[in-house]
Amino acid sequence: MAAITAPAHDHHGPLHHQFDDLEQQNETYILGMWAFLVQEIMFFGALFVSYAIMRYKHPMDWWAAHTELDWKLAGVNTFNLLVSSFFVAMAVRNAQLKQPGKVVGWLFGVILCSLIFLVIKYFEYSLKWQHHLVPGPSFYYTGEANAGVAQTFFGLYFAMTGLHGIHVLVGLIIFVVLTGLWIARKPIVTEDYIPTEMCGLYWHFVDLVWIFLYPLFYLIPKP
Amino acid sequence: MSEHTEHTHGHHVDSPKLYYGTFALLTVLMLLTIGASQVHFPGGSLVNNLIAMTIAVLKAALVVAIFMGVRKGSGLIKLYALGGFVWFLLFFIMFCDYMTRSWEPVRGWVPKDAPVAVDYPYVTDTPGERPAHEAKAEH
Amino acid sequence: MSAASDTIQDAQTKRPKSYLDNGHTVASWLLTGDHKRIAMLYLISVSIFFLVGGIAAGMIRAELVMPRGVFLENDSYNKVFTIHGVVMIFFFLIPAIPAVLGNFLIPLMIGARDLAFPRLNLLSWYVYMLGGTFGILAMLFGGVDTGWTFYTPYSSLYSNSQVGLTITGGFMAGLSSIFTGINFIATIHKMRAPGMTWFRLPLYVWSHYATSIIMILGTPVIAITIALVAVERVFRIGIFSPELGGDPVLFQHLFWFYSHPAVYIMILPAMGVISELIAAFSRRAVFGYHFVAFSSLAIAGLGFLVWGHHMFVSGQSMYQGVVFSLLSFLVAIPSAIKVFNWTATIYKGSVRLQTPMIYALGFMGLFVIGGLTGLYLSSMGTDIHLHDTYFVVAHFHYVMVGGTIMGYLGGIHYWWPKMTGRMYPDRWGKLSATLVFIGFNLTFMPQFVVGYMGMPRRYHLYYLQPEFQIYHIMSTLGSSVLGLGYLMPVIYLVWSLKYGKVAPANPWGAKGLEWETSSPPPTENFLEKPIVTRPAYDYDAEADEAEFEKLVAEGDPRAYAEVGD
Repeated sequence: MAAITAPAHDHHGPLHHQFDDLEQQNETYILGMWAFLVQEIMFFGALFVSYAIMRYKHPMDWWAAHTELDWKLAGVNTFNLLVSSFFVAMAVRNAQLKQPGKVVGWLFGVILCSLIFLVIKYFEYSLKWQHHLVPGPSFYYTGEANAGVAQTFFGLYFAMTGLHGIHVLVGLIIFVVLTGLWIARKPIVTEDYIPTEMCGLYWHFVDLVWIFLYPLFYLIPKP
Repeated sequence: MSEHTEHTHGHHVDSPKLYYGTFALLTVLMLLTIGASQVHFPGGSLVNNLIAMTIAVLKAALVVAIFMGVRKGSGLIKLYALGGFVWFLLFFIMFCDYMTRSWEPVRGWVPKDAPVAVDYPYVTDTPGERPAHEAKAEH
Repeated sequence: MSAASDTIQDAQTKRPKSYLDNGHTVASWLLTGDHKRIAMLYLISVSIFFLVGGIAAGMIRAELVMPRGVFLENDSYNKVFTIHGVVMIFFFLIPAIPAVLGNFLIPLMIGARDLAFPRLNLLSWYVYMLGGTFGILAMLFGGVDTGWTFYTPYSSLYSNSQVGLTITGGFMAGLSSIFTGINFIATIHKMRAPGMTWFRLPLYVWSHYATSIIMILGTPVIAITIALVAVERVFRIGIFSPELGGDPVLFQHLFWFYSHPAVYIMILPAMGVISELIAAFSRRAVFGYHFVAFSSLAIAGLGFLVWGHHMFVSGQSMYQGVVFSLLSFLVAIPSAIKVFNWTATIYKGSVRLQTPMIYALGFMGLFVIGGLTGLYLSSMGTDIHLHDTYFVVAHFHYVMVGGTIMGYLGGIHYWWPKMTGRMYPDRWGKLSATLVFIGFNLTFMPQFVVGYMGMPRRYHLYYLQPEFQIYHIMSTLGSSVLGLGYLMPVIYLVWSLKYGKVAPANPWGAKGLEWETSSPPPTENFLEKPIVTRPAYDYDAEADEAEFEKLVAEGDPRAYAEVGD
């Protein structure tokens, strides 16, 4: 078995010790990120299947229960997430061009969008709480739908949008840290665009989930 | 040799126009979803659902291909991006179960001279008619 | 003799600083990014959980000796078999081979310095330990009585035991397994040494790749499903409980969508280990390399299409049942390909019956029985009779214990010199492997019979059928032998850490990159980046035999089976 000497490594800079060069590291990170996103799809996937089965079994009640939700407010949020996704794409583009000033600008936009999303979500949830539509002992539903099915509907609504909301919250934290690294001009982000790209991939995924959640919860047609 | 050495070093950066255009298209599609949900199409809610989901899939495809860069990604990344579709397997097989659960055995499946060990109350020639063996039991 | 020992001693003193010497503080272990150290952390943790699950198994077997039970109340019995199932599956079988042997060996086998994401790897151990803590806490706070399957509506509405804590523990164990899967996928794709093409990879790496695919596609589904059970317990949202308008079959679908592939998470890595052992101790390349490699992927793929065979009597559509039955039969094809190819590898090989090889042969025997009885269960008609009986219990123990644990122990014995730099006494190893094989068959063979006669699983009273007693007594006797067989390696392996002979770099004369580096390997795995120019299992039986004869003539200790004595 032949052998060559391992290339020398400096442990500063963006290259980690287990990789030979930045290119290998970048490709590995992106692949790892996609593997992570695939598991995220399956994670949400089980919820989407539960949703589909339940809606298939109770189409009319599902429609009636969904009228309690505010599609306009959620529509604002949908647009808000689209904008943030666009900001992220632009931030990654400027990171590739090594323009830290512009990157920080776009990233502030993303943070703002995610804050707006969470604030709107807060108002939505607190309205549901006031209307006794949170499943549990205080659940009290008087609408057209069967109360049990309505409880399942709101259970899934809170489970799915809640899990999505947690992802938004995590995304907010990630982007605050990322922006901090860019403001401090840390070489880990300025010399290699991949950390920014990975955060971006995560954020696009959060947007993707919402693209499906929005029509499935807020825009149900009357059967 | 692993794949990583086979790529060129420089990466092509897309023009901002592409991102602006994608964003505009996504916004139009979003408005289209909202608009379509307010219309009652001939064919019932199935058509509405199909339209809503088609638009959602289109939007998702745009985000995945352009914003997430899969369009320019390696074959491996494309493969993993497609891996998300395993979800449809779960969806498809479970719906096969739910949609065939109410299928009932029909008369031809039970041999004519079979001893009536198991009661098949739903095996009837025409709706409303009582099963043959039940009628016989009354005599 | 002494001259040969001297040269080995020289090699030992000259060898580079090993990963074990890279810091001796507790922090140097608990904050390490080194895949080898994390593997050792996992080894200690899974061994503890194996002990916990084993004690529960012993309690079950003791209880079943008498038709009216011996010392457990109904509730306690339910809790004991649940602990046995939850601990063994979530905290032992699933992490055992991937997280211990996989973590240690994958970078070594592909010629990398570490896994792709060392910090994620460490995180996965912490998450696993946190989950394990939740599991243990649930036990201490009164236990859980739902069975490891958490079937609704019992788990979500009626059970008054620690379902929430246990579910949290299972959820965490799932997360840790997802992290491991992501790490392996990225590592195997992108970090192979120059020249290490896909078809030069050891089959062990192939099987771990297939396992990782199942980990990232299946595990998230069960994670969210059991999380929903917990949510339903608290908020009564009515997804799985019919009383609240939910659908218990929906739960079973989602549960088995993961939990059937999970069986392959357990068995595929063991199959990878067996491929290595059979090749190394038959001195031959694995017969039909490509078929064995792709059969791993085929098992992983088919594994996602057969989950409904757990639900033949659950009220799922009977047409669906027919399809699932047919697809389940298909799994026999890739499994048989593996077994036939291993057999063909042994044929005309120069077989050495050392400890790992005895485990490997034991695996083949037990896995064949476990696999073939699976066909009885996947055919819908017989399953109606055998469902939820001891026949099922015996079947999956033949696969999971007879398969996975035999593979795990065989692998631990095979790579122990590499992991610790010490040889264990081979004579004791052979004895333990033989005891495990005999004890195992004595434990589970009678369960096929008593299950076929109608003994249901999860029952501890059978006084209406006192004729079952003799089978239960045989089974309990066998489990004592089995327990002894499992205890012995713990003792002599720990003993060998201090008193075992110092191991050379390649004590088995095996092929593979992991044997090219010193034992134990240095922190960076290879002092020089390896370049691979030969296929895997590049054994040359005749040359080996000549070399072996030469070693015997020289009195080299490596020539003897009892290397560690």
